[in-house]
Parts: sequence; C-alpha cells; structure tokens
Amino acid sequence: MPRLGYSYAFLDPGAKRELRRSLLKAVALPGYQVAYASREMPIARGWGTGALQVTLSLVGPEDVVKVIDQGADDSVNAANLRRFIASMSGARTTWDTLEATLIQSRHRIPEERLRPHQILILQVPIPEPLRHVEPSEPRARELHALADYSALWVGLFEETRRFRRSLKGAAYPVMVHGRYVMDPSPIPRWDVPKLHQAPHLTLLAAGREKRLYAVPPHTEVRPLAFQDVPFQVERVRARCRRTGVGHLFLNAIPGEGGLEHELSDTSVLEKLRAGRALGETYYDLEGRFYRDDVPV
Amino acid sequence: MSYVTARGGEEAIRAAEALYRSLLGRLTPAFHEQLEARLPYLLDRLMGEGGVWAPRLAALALAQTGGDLYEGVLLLRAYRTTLPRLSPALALSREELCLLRRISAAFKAIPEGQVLGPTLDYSQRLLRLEALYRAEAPPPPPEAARPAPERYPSVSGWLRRKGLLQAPREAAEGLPDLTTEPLRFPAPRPLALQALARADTGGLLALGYSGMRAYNAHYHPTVSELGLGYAEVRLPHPVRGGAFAIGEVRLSFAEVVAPAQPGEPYRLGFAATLGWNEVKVIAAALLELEMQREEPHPARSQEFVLLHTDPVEASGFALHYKLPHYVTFLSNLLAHQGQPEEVEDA
Amino acid sequence: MTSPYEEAPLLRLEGVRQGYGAREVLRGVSLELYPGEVLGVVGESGSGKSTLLRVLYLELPAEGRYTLGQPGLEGLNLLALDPYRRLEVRQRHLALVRQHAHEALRMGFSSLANVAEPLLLLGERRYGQAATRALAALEEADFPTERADEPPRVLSGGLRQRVQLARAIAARPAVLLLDEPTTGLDLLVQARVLDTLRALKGRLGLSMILVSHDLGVVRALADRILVLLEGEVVEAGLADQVLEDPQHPYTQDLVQARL
Repeated sequence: MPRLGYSYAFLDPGAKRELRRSLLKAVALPGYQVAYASREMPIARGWGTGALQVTLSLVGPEDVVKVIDQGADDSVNAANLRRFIASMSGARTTWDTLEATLIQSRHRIPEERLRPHQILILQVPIPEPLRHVEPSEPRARELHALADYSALWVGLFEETRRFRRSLKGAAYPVMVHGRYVMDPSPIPRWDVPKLHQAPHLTLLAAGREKRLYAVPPHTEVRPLAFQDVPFQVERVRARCRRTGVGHLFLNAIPGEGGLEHELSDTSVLEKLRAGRALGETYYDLEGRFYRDDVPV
Repeated sequence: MSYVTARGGEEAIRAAEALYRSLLGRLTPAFHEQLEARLPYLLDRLMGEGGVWAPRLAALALAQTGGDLYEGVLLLRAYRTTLPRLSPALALSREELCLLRRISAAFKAIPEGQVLGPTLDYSQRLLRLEALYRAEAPPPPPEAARPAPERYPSVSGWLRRKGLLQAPREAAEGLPDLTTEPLRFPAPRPLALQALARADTGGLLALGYSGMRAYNAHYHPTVSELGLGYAEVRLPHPVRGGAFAIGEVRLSFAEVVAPAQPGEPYRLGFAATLGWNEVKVIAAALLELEMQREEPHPARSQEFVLLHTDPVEASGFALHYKLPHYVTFLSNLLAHQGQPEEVEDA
Repeated sequence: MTSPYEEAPLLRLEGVRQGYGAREVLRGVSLELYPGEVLGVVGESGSGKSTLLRVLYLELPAEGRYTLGQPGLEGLNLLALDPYRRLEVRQRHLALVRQHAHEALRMGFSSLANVAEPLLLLGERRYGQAATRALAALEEADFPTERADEPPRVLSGGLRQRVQLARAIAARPAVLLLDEPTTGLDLLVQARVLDTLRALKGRLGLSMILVSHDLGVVRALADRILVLLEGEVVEAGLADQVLEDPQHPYTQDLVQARL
C-alpha cells in the first residue's frame, strides 16, 4: 500500500505532469538536456534526487523496481532509495536485473542485457559534458546548439599526444545520434558500449542541476574517440574472489596480500553464488563485448 | 502488498537513524512551542531558505535535526514541494507592509521618520552571565510616545518621484515560479529575486561581502531603506471575487542605491525574504544591484551567485562526496594509469 | 574600382554598414579581394578597420552584401545567413590572426593542439592525420617544431603569432584575415613574421586581407591598398600607386606621417 498523507508516489500531479512532458521531450531529442523544475526530494540533493523523481513519475503498482549504487543493490544509499520508492508506490522491489521493469542506478549499467520493456534510469551529478571546458551554462548551451565540440576534441588530442590515450575514466563523453555530445553519467567505460543501439530506453536525470536527457531504444551512441586511437574499456586482469568470474566488471578491494577483486554487479554475484542461471550478458566469457555492431 | 527487500544496508540505515535520534532525545509539542517562541530569528532563517512560512513546521524541522540548519531547510523544502499550490497571493506594494522597523542610511530624516524597532544594533554585545544562574525576565517594553503610523511611505518611491532613481525595470509578464520552473540564464528578474529570497544566508553574505570589501568596490552603495515587519497575505476569492486575507508573515527587505553614470539617476538593488534576516537582505540587495552590471566579476554574475547559493543544492552536493565512488574511482584510476596489464593478480 | 585582374573576385563586400545612428562604424563599405592577392586596409584607430575585419570574419552582424566565391556559396549573402550557417562558413572558409594571441589561442593547451583544433573542428577524426597536418602547418609558419608541445603561455610574442598563423592556415582557408598581426612585436621579430607571411603568400598562394595602422607593414605585403576614414573607403588602388601618389588629402597625411 502506498503511504498515506502523500500523493501516490510522493510527487504531486503537477510535478509528475511536468516531469513526464520533459521526459517526452528528452526522448524526442536524444542526448539533448531538457531543463525541468526538479522538486526537492526527501533525500539530500546530489544523492539521486533527479533519477528518483523520474522513477516516481513512471512507477505504478505493477512495476518491479531495482535500485543499485555503483552496481550494488545492498549499498546503503540504494537501500534507502528502494525503501522510499516502495513505501510511496507499493511497487515490488527486486535485486534481479531480469525481473525489474524500472532500474534506477548510480554509476553502473547492469551486466545482464536489458530488454525492450525495461527502463534504465541513471543518476547524473553533472549533466553538462562541456562543464569543464565551459563553466557558463548559457555559453555551453550555445556550443551545443552549434554542435561545436572542438574543445572536447582538442582535449582528447592533447591527452593522446601526451599519453597515447584519453585520461577520461568514468563519465566518458559520447555522441548521441550524431548530434549531441552527452555525459553518460559516471558509468565506467566498461558500460559505455551497452548504450549503443540498446533495445531498452535509458533516461538520465540530474536533480540538483535540473536537467533530464535520454537515449531512446536503438539509438547510436558513440564514445568520442579518434579512429586510429580506439576507445577502450577498462581491463582488470583479475577474478572475483567469491565467484571466480573474470569477464565482468570487478571492484578492487584492498586485501591482505594486495588488491583483491569482487563482482561489482550484485545481481550477478547473487545468482552465481546461488547457482542460478545468468541472463545473457553484454560481455562474453573472454571479456569481449559481443554485439556485432559494437566494436570495443 | 508491497514487498521490501530487507538485507544488508537497510539494517544499517535503521540502526544509524535510531542512534542519531536517541542522541537528540524526546521530541515534544511543548518543546516545539518553546522553539517557536524563543528562537524566532533562527526559525526565520530556516523559513526564508525553505521558502515556506510555517513556524511550527520549522520548529519541528529544527528539533528533528538537532538544529542542523541545512538538514532542516531540506526537510522544509521537501515537505513544501508536496503541497498543492492553491493560488498565487495578491501582490503587495511596499507601502502596504506593516513595519516594526525601518531605517535609511541615505537620509537623516525620512518621511514618517527612522524607526529603530526591536534591535540590538546599538547595544553592547555582552553575554549576560548572570542568566546562567537565575531566571531573567525581559524589561517591560517601553511606552510609545505616540501611536506608530500604520503604514510608512517608501523611501525609494520618494526618491523616484524626485527623479533621483531610475524607473523600475520592466515587470515580466505573469509571475514565474522558481519552484515549478528551472532557473536558466540570463534569468528574468522575478526568478532572480526568488532565488535570492531562498538563498543560503551564509553564501549570500560571503559573496556579497566580497563585493563590499574588494571586488567591484569602486563605490559605496547606500541602504536607502531596510525594513522588518509583517505582510498580510491576501488571495483572490475563488467564488465571490475580491480578496481575502489568510494570515500574515514576517518579512524583511532591503533597498540599496548606487550611482549609475554621472548626471543620471541612481540604480536600485532590492531583496526581500520571508522572516527577519537583515544580513541576508542587505547582502542580497547589494548582489542584486551588481548583477545588473555588464561583465561583472564572477562573484557578481547572476549565474555564479544564484547557482552557488542554494542551500539545499550546495549542501547536498558537498555531502554527496561521502557516498561510495568505488566504480568511478577505479575507472578513473585505470584511465590515469593506462590499461593495466600490470594490475594482474589473478 | 575596376578590376586589376582577369579573374572574378574571391570575396566581395557591397555597401556594408555596421552600427547605427551616431555610432555607425561602417558607412557603406565595398571591396573586392582577388585570388592570391593581399589587400591592405589602412586607417587610423577609430576608422573602422577592426570592425571591418570582424564583419569579414562573420563575427559581427552587419547590413549589406558579403559574398565568397567558394563552391556552394555562390551568390549567397553571408550577412543574411543564420548564426549556425555563418559559423559553418567561418570555420570552413575563413581564418583570422588577431593582434593579441591570447584572444585566439587556448593558452594552457599545447601549441600543437591549438593548431590541430581547426582540423578537428572540420571533422578530422584520425589523430595521426591531425597531428601530422598540425606539425606541417607549424613548420610552414616557421615555428620551431621541437617546441610544438609547449603551450603558448610560455612562448614569446613572436612565437605565439606563429602559432596563430599556423592555426589559421592549417585547414587551408579561402581567405586569411590579419588584424595588426605584428603590432606590439619588436622590429626584428616583426620583420621575421612578415618574411614568413610573404613566403606563405608565395608558397600557398593565400589570399589575405591585412589590417594595420602601420603603412610599413602594409607596404611590405599588400598588392592593393584601401584607405578607410570614418567608416568609408576614401581611396583604393594598387599599393605602389596609393603610397607613391596618394590622391585623397587623408591618405596624403597618412603617407606624410609615415615619412
């Protein structure tokens, strides 16, 4: 049962209507940052309030909600958000990626492939990929309007010249539908190819910065990279200490004999430990991204 | 029926909150009443930044957070945003305010006079240590020599009639609402004033002070009027037409004036906020004045000032740095160190 | 002015006005630039030279007609384009060397990256190509390529102008605009930069419009000269002709002052 004393799913109907309209606009303009009012939520600003508003504007009693933070369902912040969403909407919650209809995530895309009926909602701290080269919002907006991304290319050129690679780790900028450069939220590079031509809808929301944007299903999402210095995902040559898996994204954990590793995706970790079958993953057993149309 | 996964983190959350609350002790209605009666300036600051007039809720927010102002403002804002917006109140002119205190630094004598009202401005700030040991009753309020006027004329209105002040800037069509639309830049003046009204007192003070002390301090703006008082909140009657009052709120405002081009009328900076908070409205009015200038110093630019002084956003983001960043940290580390065949340890 | 050349002009301004009322800066300026020539624009400060250059660089809106004889732009009035198209034309066909390098360069990035930027902007997506072409442009601008990785911030004024020049020619613009490119440099450095510009003109056949208050600089480079006074062209002609036998009293004053 949803909680008494508040609107269904916390947000009042006016706020929900505004969010849904903004989301429609975002879907219609892939990668374009739509400004929205962004209400204060009962969790701290910068802790996922944008994605939370999106989740609450979409959730219904039949939904199954998964919330992850850095890949983990059991992280305290994820637990807190999940508890709130469930108590305000009456929706069922889950850790299982395959079972979820709405997945709110901070900084990870699950390892098991998402399907067309699922919606991924990513929490975004800084939606503006140009922020570090152009701190002023009106000027950055103008650069987007003109599709002038030379500042980012010059930065990439400079890094390539000095280090033979980009120094950008998480939040690697991507070009969406050949038009807007977008910050994919601080997901690791490992997760970036999962956005390209994905069958599911990805919504990205920054509550504090009051911006929403989207990658609709089957949209081209290309990391900003030179043709002769290809984009590469992180390679951690290690195995999960609890499952022995080596082909999925691993967290590094300081152990007694140096760094140890563990699967970042708790849905996968749980399934493997319980001996349950995994869904289809984006990466194969050799750690290769195996969709034909997406080179890694 | 809802099913909530209860594992790992959730236990920790419950325990942490229980510990926090146990340290604060019992909350009672009497305590909230005391807070409301005894700490009006603190509550005013909270309500100003919260953007909502609700003294009892502000007292509750304060009690519930043990006096953590940023947490308290967040509680108020998050509650406020769920409330239905029934109607915009009718606009009030400055001259419709009921003021307890109004002073001008520009003129010794202003129409209807300087009114000190309740203030410590000219008192010695000594801790009254004896109150540590015995109860202290306040002195009886002084008798008024003559009844105070119900309304005071506006100093800026008078300046304007004398041709000393620039005409008011164009009012925007309709009244935008900062709580239901985002701030974009350049922001229309009504939104900028709303943002200043809800801004963090300390943040405005720091930025305002930087302009007073050094940056852009080529001239000395003057407070033409500072006022504390009450505003009656009136709504249009939905059925019979006309207006009716639903109550009153405390508020403060400041108007500052500064020279424009030689020979031209002065420019006016304005700020107002819910509650009595003089330092905030003075700093905000000075910032509002400076934000009208072309090519300002960053701390005078509208975008810089308004985006960085929202208490909820600034404090929330500062606190987010304590959230786990395992994945981001590792990803950035690997990008920095290069593709690490060397991280091999399997 | 009748055409001194057989070819059609590469660039043409007709009756260009900028500003309005008492603040009108350009009062109906017309000019032509022919392929491979250097047109010098002289005039004292306040004559509208810099404004003219900014209009030519499509940085300032103006009234009148501005056409470029470039594929795809035939007959198009560039002043009437929307900002997006205007920027596109600027990026693809025009380059500007400014008097102050810091207004044109990213001072914290390497010189090489600065030179590579216009190539990246025009869609070069191969790092190797961008780097090779940027290095070649630096070499053409007589910049010591062993210092290519240093940022302009640490370079001398003369070297900064060479970085700007390399950046301007890297993508082979149709027209190179020069705004007091050697003003503020000491004489020897100035002479060397002028040598480079002359060599570039010969080697690449670049068409340039050079704005300067310094007749010496204009004399060193320009084929033709146009004299601007209070936003109007008061004299125009072949460089030698204008400098040796000025007709307008203002030009006579300018030339006298120089002597």
